Amino acid sequence: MHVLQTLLFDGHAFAVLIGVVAGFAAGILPGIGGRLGLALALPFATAFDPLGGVMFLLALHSVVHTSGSITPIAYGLPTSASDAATAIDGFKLQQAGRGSEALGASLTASSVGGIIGALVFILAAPVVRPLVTVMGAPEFLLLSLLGLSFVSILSGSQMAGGLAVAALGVLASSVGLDPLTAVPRFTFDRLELWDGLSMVPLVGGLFVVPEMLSLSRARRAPPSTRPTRAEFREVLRGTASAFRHWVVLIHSTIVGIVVGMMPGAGSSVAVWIAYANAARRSVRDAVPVGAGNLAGVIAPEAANNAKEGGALIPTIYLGIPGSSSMAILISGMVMLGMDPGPHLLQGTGSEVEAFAWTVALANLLTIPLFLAAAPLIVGLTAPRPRVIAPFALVAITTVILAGSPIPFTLEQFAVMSVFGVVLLLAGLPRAPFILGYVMGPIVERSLSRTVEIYGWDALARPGVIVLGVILVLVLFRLKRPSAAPSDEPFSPRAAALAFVIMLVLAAAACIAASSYPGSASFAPIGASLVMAIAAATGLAGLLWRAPAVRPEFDLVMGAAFVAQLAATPLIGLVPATLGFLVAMRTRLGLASTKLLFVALLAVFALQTLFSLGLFDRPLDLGLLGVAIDALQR
Amino acid sequence: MNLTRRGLLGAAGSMAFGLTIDGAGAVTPLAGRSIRFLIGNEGSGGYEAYARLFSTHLALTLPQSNVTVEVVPTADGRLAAKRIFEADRGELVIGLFESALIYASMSGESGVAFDLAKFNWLGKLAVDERVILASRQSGITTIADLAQHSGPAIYPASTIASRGSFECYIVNTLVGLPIRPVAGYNGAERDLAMLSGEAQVVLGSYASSADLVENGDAVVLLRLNEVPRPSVPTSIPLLREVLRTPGSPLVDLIELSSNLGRWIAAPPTASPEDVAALRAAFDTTVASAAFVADAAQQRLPLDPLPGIEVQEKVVRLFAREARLKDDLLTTVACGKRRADGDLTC
Repeated sequence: MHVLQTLLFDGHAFAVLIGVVAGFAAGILPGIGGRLGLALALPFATAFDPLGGVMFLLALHSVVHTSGSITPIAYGLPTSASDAATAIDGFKLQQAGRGSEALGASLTASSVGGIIGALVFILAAPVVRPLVTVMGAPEFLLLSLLGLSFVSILSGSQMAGGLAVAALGVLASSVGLDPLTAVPRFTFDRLELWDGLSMVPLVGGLFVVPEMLSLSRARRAPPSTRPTRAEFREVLRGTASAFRHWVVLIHSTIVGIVVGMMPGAGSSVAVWIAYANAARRSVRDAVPVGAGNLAGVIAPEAANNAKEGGALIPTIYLGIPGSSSMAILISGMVMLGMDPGPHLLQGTGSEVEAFAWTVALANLLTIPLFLAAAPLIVGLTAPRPRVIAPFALVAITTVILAGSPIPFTLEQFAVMSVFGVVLLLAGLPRAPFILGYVMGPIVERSLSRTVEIYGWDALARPGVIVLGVILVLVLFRLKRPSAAPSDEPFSPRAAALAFVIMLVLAAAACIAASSYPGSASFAPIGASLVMAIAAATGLAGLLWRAPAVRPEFDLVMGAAFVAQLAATPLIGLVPATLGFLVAMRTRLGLASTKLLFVALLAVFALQTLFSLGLFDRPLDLGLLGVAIDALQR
Repeated sequence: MNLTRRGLLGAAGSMAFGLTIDGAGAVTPLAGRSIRFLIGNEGSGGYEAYARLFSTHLALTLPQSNVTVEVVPTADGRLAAKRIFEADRGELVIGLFESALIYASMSGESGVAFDLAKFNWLGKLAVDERVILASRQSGITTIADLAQHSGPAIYPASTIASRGSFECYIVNTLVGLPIRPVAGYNGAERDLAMLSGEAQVVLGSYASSADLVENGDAVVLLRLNEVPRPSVPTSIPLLREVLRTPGSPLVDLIELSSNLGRWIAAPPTASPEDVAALRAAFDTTVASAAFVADAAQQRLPLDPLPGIEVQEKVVRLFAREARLKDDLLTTVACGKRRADGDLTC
């Protein structure tokens, strides 16, 4: 209580408040998030005294995931693997006119997860060392296998398709320099591929582009279901719903805390395990997770915030960063002269208490901000959801290409966009790709380390026994997919194309990987074989699949988007974007030239601000710019 | 044509005051030109911190130039190094990347398609104090203990081709150690492995593992290189002092790659005038009080060396490349056998 009084009355409350506002803003802006937000905030932390500076950074980081759910839900705009889980159900709820309810549920889940995470952080002090050091390579292996086991749930009734897509995700994750053998895999002599594929273009191409091109053709919701304005009571209803889903809430919080404590496990692991667990529980619901179920929002949001409390445990108590964001936090603490480590537990431990209170208070302080901002944002999208599609495409392209303007990023984004569209048209689930992509490398590295260091002794470890029992229980209790065929819209031709592409990719990957020495070939060949068998099964299954409605898809906008991507390296991102918007002026309802001009100016200003202000990148005019430079010389 | 934040601000300032700011009072070959500074590493500390500190102050030293920063961490800095190496004549692309690329270059790695000796080196900022540590749990307290350790001592490496793995194999042979690098660990997992007992030793920068030592969870066994202001007590033996066969030239390789920490390169195609101007700018920057003060505030130790001296050291090293390469490959092969338990070489 003394610490709390100090917190509130010693000027540190101001540091926490500023941190909350900064973190809220960082979370809302697509592409910023916790890691970049912390990095940008580091210089400002020196404006406070050391403790205040650390509290500022902690407060910022504690709330960034809370506000980070707004754009995935309101606009279907995830920019990370973690956000993608929220966007799947959140955006569907928004399209069904329940966006405010989804945001209310998200806020509650985030706050509960964050506060419980902070509580566990402070309670873990006496047992931190045995708690953290009990985890080794075998435990990481079991955890990642547990994650992969949820592929079946995320596949819904498309088991073969889901498995094929997951295997493709594992295969995609093997691109790059194999850390175990130093063999470049699928790099085609390109250094850019040594570090593998980038997550932001993957998520953007797989989730955002197809959803927006589909949304653009969607019929307007009938007036009775269209929200005329965001209702505060809908947000409160969402809050109540979160507590009604208390089992999902608690389970997801526990998953977030446990995985957060495991340095290197990654935030996406916690989020997707929680999401898949919620999906498993919802198979008998009228609307299962994946089709617009609130549990599909509650689970990832609770896990995401709880994970930060878990990650603080090794970070603060042992000086071992629990995540890449925590590594930046540590550097901030060092810069402020407050090194993390066991010495913080000596003496009164008041700093540790202050940190815990900071996380808890930050989660509470963000509630009024969220309640004020979220309905406004939902209200913006409600009247003309189709208008959102072109702007969302512009936003995701800006985030991806302004943050990393190399040609390779554009190539990845383009390829994943095409693939995402094919999967959407084929009626195949896309979430398993992310699960395979995230879990695949952890399985590969952990398996290698377990075999090399522990051998069969790994089976006797307490953590392995506990996680192994959980894995067996999960596998045993996994609901079998219903015999009833899926009524998801799909195009048989697109489905056949998707399966044929995967068969061809599997064959090509097997041939290429067969030349890799040693264990470098195991993961790619294994994933390719699974993909081939699953794709062949899926292709055969098409013969018996009942016809279904074709999915909606805006071909015109798709073509304009392709033209924008193609024009970007030639004339630069900003001119290409402006051209895209001019082409889409009818969709945007910008028939008036004045309105069009204002919209173009606004987008130009935002893109410039984003590129120069955040990334300090010069405005690029592509090959045109190079030619102009050459003429000027 | 590039518009940058500084360019816009500079243009606005010039228009407002009708002046062209020139801190040095003279026009340099770099005036009015764009300098792109590539950072060949990403992360919260180390390379990126030094690079951002230097580039910020370089911009102050060269107010008439337009300095932009780009982070290119791909392939541990190989892509950044490649882009600098392949810059066109007149294109001022400079940058900072891993000095451990020396090993990759010497061993003939395919990803190193450039000649480190042909870069125009502008200087280096710091020295990397590299050590071998053992975890408290391992019971190893001296280098002699490690040499007599039964079974391989596990070293949690990032990749099997990392700098640490390379040096581990070299030191295995030169000192007679049984360290086995196991790949697939990031920094946090490495520390966890040391605390949990999954790993026994770490070979790397002392700064990265100082917390483990200061908390009593690890002890330093060996210093790989000597540094001007050591953080490690000098009572800890130096690599040179414990060699099985004194005078190995590979010790020069280890020391050079460590002592040339945070080196900054310019393209081979840069004109002599540009190189001279950039080197002068480097010297001015690192000597400025503001730079030194900022480095101290960020707890980034400095040990700068001018470009001409860095150039001489690198050229001298690569003049012996053929012999060093043979030595390196033989030594690494033996080191790998020792890592696998064959202690006969």
